[in-house]
Formats: sequence, structure tokens, C-alpha cells
Amino acid sequence: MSKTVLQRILLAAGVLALLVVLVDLAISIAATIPGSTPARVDHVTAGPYQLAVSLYSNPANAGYALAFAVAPTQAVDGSLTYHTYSLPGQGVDATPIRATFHADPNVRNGIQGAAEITVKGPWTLQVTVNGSAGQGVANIPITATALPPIPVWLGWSIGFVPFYVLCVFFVMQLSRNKKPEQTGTEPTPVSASA
Amino acid sequence: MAQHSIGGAGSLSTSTSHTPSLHSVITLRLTCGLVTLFGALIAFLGTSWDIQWHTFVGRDHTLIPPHEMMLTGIALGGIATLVAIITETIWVRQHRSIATQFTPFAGLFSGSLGAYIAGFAALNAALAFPLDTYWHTLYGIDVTLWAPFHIMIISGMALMAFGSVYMLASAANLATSIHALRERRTAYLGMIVAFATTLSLFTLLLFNATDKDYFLPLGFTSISLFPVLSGLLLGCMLVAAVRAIPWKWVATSITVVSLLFVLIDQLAVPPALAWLMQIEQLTFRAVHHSIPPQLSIVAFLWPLLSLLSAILIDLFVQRALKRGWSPRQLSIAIGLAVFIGCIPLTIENPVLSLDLIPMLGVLGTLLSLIVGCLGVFIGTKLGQSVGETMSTLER
Repeated sequence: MSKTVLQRILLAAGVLALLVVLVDLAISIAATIPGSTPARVDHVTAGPYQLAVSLYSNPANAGYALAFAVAPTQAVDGSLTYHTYSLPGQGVDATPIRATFHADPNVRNGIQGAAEITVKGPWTLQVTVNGSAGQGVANIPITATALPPIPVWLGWSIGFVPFYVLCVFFVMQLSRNKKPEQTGTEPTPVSASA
Repeated sequence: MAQHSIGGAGSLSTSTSHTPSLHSVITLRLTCGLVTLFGALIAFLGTSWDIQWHTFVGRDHTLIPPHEMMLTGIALGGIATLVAIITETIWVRQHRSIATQFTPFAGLFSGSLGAYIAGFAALNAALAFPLDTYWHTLYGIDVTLWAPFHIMIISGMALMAFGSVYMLASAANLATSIHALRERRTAYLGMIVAFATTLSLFTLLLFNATDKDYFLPLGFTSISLFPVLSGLLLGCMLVAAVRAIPWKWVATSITVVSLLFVLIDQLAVPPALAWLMQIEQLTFRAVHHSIPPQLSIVAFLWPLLSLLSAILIDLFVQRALKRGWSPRQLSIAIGLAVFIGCIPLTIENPVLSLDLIPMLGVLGTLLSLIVGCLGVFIGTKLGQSVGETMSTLER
């Protein structure tokens, strides 16, 4: 295989890698934006408050944000404040994550947000509401799925790609520098030109 | 100073109004090399912050501020190398006669070797991020540096800094050829910082090597990979730098700059973590750590004997010149100096090497050191070769 062909294959792989990065970035951003129709709506009770919790992806995609919206289903005196967390379930190796949200412009006392689901398995979206009637907590169970798993050995093989390239580069450099009369260990002339 | 253009019958000729001058090439490589280096430095500081975050808070989501800082550094380096390659490709397409002064790639691009290395490395590190997220979705948060795509991210960032060394070396050699002293000095200073950044990023991968969970089992005993990895790293980086940069105290300067980065870590990372935790309303993980969150993990796990190695390398090189040592004598002396850096000693545990002996056993310790010697030998040989190339590289 000629050098140019090999370089073109490397270039094609590079372009493909760049596309993967850009597509993943686009999907990550899109996942935080709620769609027009929720995939699932749960009616829950959080203490004295009746809430409708809309999830825009069901099951959730692990590794991406889960867009959600919370809206009271009954009239509420005064304003409500919220705290939302995604909590990993039993056996899920992850940490609780505070979900980000903002006020829903179309629903009074409603919010729209994105909860991070980092690992596949059972999770809970916890919504804590505070208002004039007191505090209430609602837990919404979520299941997160991931892409099919790759074998651990394949993951490690890909992870070492920079080192393969580095090794090939060094070997090429060593073979290029190797000349019969040159040991490559001569001291470098040092000048104090700094 | 006379204006020089590249290409033509001689290596240098008087500039025409159309052919890019050698000064333009030097300025481009110097600027893009320094921007790439700056990107790698941002990535290093972001990684230090990230290590602190993962250890004390846990991994929560992909776009946390430390990850954003790392990605910013990677993107900066990637864009800088892309600008360098595209600009040089345009120059070559407009003036075919100068093509031999640039490194061709795939029959489409022309540029400096360093730009290709740094560009590849930046892309590698960027690609590793979504792969790492995917890996975490499958296998959990695994707070360890020795996970496949953590290694890919960190080595990608380190190679980005290494690519900037090549870019700056090329600028330095071109500047030397036209006696542009200011540019040459800037390029050499940049090379020292770039070597330090490369060394610092690769050093992050040494942290797990003294942990007994990461000893390499051989069946009859286990060995620690710290000596061999440290030998490869110090041998390659410090020896290459000493050969490539014709100044005194180069190796020492590199490790001092590297320690300066660690000091910045200690001053900036713990307050940054505390600030971010307050904003994000997060709490510390309920896991005990020997290092409190007020201290930077990177600073406290940093292998300190690399400084002694570097000082000895510089002293031996200077003594070799004064006393006319043979190449073999100098190689042995440098090898011994590098080997000292293979002994683990950190602020967290100044007697770490002594603690490792009972864990590894006598046989395991001896084998670790023997394999370490092999690392020193290979690292030093690679360093000589890399340094030799850098000292003459113009394209």
C-alpha cells in the first residue's frame, strides 16, 4: 500500500471521527430541548400539590440529558419553587445529579428542565416543591437504556490508539535517523545564547 | 534584516512579492504552535480540576465546567493546527516551487510535521469524550485514570502538546537559518513550556501505577509499572529536550515549569471546586480520602524525584562537554539520572517507595526495577532520536 493511500485512509478516518464528535454534540444539545409532545406524562402527588410530570424521552437515553416539564394540575395560591434531582437506583454506579430547569413561559408555576442520566439502569426523577401550602416531594421512576455494549477488550484497544500512532511515529523516526556512523549519543553543543 | 523567501534553487532567496517569506512561515508556526501549547495547558489545568471533581464529587454529567475547560483547550489546539495546515497548504498550492519545504499529507495538504501530530492528537482527545460518556453509561462512574477513554483523552492532550514542540522546533530551526534571534529565543522558550506540558499531562497517567490494585500480576508475583512508565517518559522527554534545545539547564527548566503548573493547580483547583460546588449545590461523596479536598490531588500525588533526575541530566551533559566524556559514558550517566526519577516519592507519601516493597515482595520489587531499567533504556534512546530530529527539523 502506498504512503499516499495510507494517508488518505487516515484522513478519511479523521473526517469520520470529526463527524462522530459533531453529531454527538448535536444530539447532546438536542436532548436538552423538550419536544412538542411528551413521550410519557405521570400525574403525581407531591405533598399538598398535584403535578403533571412530562418526560420527553421514554425510556431515557443514558449519557444524555432527559428533557422534562413539571406543571401543577390544580390552582395554587402564590408561587411555587422547585428542586429537582436525578437519583441513581439500586445497583447503579452513579452519583445524584441536580437537574437544571427554568420557568415554563406557557404554564403558571410550571418548569421545563433537563435531568442528566449518566449510567444505564433504574433512576428516579425527584421533584421537591415548596409553596404556601408547604413542601412536597414526588418521585418519578425512570429507566435508562444505553447503546449495545462493546467488549471491554475492544474499549481498551481503542483507548490505546494514540499510543499505537506514537509507537509507529517513533519507529519511523528511529529508522530514519539510524545511520551507520552515527551513534545518536554524542553530547549536544551547549551555548549560553539564552 | 534581509527578507527571505522559501523554495527556489537555494535554500533561501530574496523574496518576491508573491512567495511567502520565511518570516511568514516562522511567524505562522510560532503563533499556531504557541496557541496549540496554550490549548494543551488549559486542558492540563482542566484535567487537574476534573480529577479533583471526580474524586470528591463523583462523575455527574459530560458538560461539567472542568470538562468544558478541557474541551476548550482541545478545540483551541485543534483549530490552531487546522489554521496552520490550511494556510501552508494554500501557500504551496499557489507556489508549487516551495512544496519541498513542507511536509505533504495524503497528496492534499502541506504543513509542518508538528501540526499534523497536534491535529491528530486533538481529534483523538475530542473523539474520546463521547466514547468515555458511552463507556460510563455501560460500566458506571469508575473514578480512575486508568480507564480506556480516560487514557485516550489524556494521551491525546499530551500528544497535542508534543505536536506543539515539533511546530516550535521547526520555527526555531528556520529562525536560526536566517539569524532571527528573537523568534528563535521565543521558539526555544515555547519548546521548554511545551515539553513541560507534555511531561505534566503524561505524568497524570503515572498516578495509578503505585496503587496495588493496578500492579501487573505475573502469576508468581506482581510488579508496579511506575518505574517503567516513568523511565520511558522522563527518558524520552528530558533527553529529547536536552538534545533539541542548545541551552544550559534545559531539563531542569522543564521540570521546574512542570512543578510551577502543579503549584498553580494547588492554588487554583481546590477553590475552583469549592466555588463550583456552591453554585451547583453539590455535596462531597461519602468516601474517605487520604487527601482533604482543600488540597490538590494532582499536587499531592506528583512524583517529585523527576526534578532531581533533570538536574543530574543537565549536570552530566555539561560535565561531558567540559571533560570530553565518550558518548557511551554520557549515555550511562543520563540513564542513571533518569532511573532516579523512576523511584516514586510524593508529598502525600514521601516513603512511598519503601511502602511498595512489602506490597510487591522482594522479587516483585526487583522485577519492577529491572523492567524500569528497560523503560529507561528505551526512553533514553527514543529521546536521543526525537531530540536529533527536532534539532534539525525545518518542515
